[in-house]
Amino acid sequence: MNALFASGPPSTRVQIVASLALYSVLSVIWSWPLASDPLNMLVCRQVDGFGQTWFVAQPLRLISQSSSFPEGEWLNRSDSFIIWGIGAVLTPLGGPMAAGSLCALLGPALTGLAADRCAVAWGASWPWSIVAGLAFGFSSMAANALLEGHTYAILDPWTPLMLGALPAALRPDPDRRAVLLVVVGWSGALLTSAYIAITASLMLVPLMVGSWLRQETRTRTLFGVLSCIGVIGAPYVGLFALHGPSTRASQGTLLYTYGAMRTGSATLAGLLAWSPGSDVMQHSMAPVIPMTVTMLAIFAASGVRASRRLIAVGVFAVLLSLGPEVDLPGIGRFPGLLAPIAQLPAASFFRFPARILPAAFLAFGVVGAQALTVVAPGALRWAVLALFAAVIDAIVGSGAPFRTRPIPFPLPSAYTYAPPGALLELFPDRSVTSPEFMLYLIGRTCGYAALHGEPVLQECLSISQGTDHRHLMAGWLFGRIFDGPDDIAVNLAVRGVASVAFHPDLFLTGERDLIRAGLEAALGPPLAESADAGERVVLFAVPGVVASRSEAVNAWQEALP
Amino acid sequence: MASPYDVVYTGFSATVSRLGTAYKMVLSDDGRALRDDKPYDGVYVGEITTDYSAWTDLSISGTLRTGETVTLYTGTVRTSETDVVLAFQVRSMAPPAHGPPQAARVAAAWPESAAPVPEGLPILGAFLWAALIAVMVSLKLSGAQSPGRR
Repeated sequence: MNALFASGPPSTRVQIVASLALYSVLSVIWSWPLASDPLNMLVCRQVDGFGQTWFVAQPLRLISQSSSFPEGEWLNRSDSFIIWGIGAVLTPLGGPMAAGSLCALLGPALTGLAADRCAVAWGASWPWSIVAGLAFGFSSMAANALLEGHTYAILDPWTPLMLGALPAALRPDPDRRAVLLVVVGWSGALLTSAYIAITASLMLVPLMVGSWLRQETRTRTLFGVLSCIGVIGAPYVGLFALHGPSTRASQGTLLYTYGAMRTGSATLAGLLAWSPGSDVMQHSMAPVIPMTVTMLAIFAASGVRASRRLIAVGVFAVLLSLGPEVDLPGIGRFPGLLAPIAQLPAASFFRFPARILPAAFLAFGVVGAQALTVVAPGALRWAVLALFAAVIDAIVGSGAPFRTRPIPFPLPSAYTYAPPGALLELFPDRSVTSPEFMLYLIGRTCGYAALHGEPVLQECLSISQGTDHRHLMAGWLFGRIFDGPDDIAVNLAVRGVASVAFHPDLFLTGERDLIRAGLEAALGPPLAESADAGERVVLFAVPGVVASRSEAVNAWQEALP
Repeated sequence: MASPYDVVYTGFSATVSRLGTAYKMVLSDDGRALRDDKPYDGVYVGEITTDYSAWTDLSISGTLRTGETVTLYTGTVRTSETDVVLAFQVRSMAPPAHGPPQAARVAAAWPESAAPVPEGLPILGAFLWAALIAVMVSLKLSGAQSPGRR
């Protein structure tokens, strides 16, 4: 084994290629079986993958004409603008699942490589820098994004790019290119996800301000970077504030905010391991800390004179991730660092403190790589063993390869017969389904919209269930079907609805027959019927002249009769 | 389907509706319904194979010692995966005469095991892993010097 290192370290290019090869193989294993059919398959256990499929198919305009017919839906509150851009390029080439699959497959590899090089920038040497790549690129929170279906959050080379540029940017004689990379890295993080921007800020601000207080960094550098961040961040905040409520709709109560933040927080016991129960309902939240780099960081803090500032940042991120309440098993519950923030109405948007944890993963990963760099020359076998342990953390600790499942997502063939114009999805209201199942139905049918291309009445980005045009129209339709279907076709047509997709399996046996009979009485026999993509879909065309989008906008100003 | 209350329930059955077709099955605990199933462990299992269905209507009933049948769960569950394990556990703490009988969804690990997974087991395993890593790291790291402190 010593012969491997006898002729000195390999060149940077060889290091990068070797690291990337390792991360790429791991990435395929991690998200398997996605690589076997990336254009037609999802591997997420939860519902966001369907919505993401719809989102990436939207043109780069702030209002989508594909949902919330006829006005369209504002996309200014999109979590990720980068996936939007990737989707704009890839969707025409590979369909609406291409962008999400690309993020899931390339994300861990590129993110891991960026963290790897970040560790090198902080003084670690290759191959020990690989532990940083594994800890950050293949973390439990990356697995969370993969399993929940918001795969854009896995593709975050930005935070390590920013952190890796910091040493050179914070010097008394700063490297201008490094300063620029810090700003670029932070901006990329912001455009990837708001949570990732918070993570990046949690690393950037304390490290910069700390360095400035120690008079190691010029005031001009500090204020220059902070000003750039402010200028770039302001439009993002402005876009967010432009449309939409200031609290999450129907969830803005303090009690709900506090409870939601607690549910989305890490727990001390949960930091140790995931369990199959993590994936049963709604979220796949299992924020597990990578044990090898964490132990390396803990012992480095006392033994190795490693980057104690990074360790401090990591510990701070772990404490924040515990949310508004810390549960010490067998002792009691105590207020967490986020307890004051949980009292603010706007905190209803900050429901997942656990998503701060990647800051700790990156910090501990870099310190772990530094520690191995120090120890490896005198204990090579031991260091290699630690590297293998980090691989086990990435695979078993995150659990990703054991938790993904193949999710086929073809378009039910009945939709291919839909005439041009808006399509009304007819499924039961949330009053008879759970909120989780309702999100599934909305996400799935929005995903269908990306595949069939006709506009739909429901909102696809907003989480405000029960207030959109689909809800209003479907509720009105159910009432009319049971009362007498005489004016159904006219009212649908005047509001621009050209077809109705009825999902009979979602209704009780008795009512499904009544609704179908009512639809046939009002709209005529179904245009198409299919049971080939995981559900039965009965498609009805609305007879008569269907209003244009602009005519429908006017019609929607008036209440349904 | 698992129940710690053998004194109350003598058996379970389920009606599964997929793509509009209902399948009724009697759940069994004799270890023969599934490969590698442990017999008489209190976990009643059944298996069906159908065309892919994105959701499933499910109704679970329990048979009391008196012969009476009570409904423990009805609902529609998401089955977007191609292979799905739906595991439920009886949660009623008393015989049905003292309160509504009900079952709640829990995690299971089949095909490894049809039994619900004890939540503490992964944590115990991870704790042992953490201890091993801690010992391994502590043996080598004390007294070493870093390549550069920042």
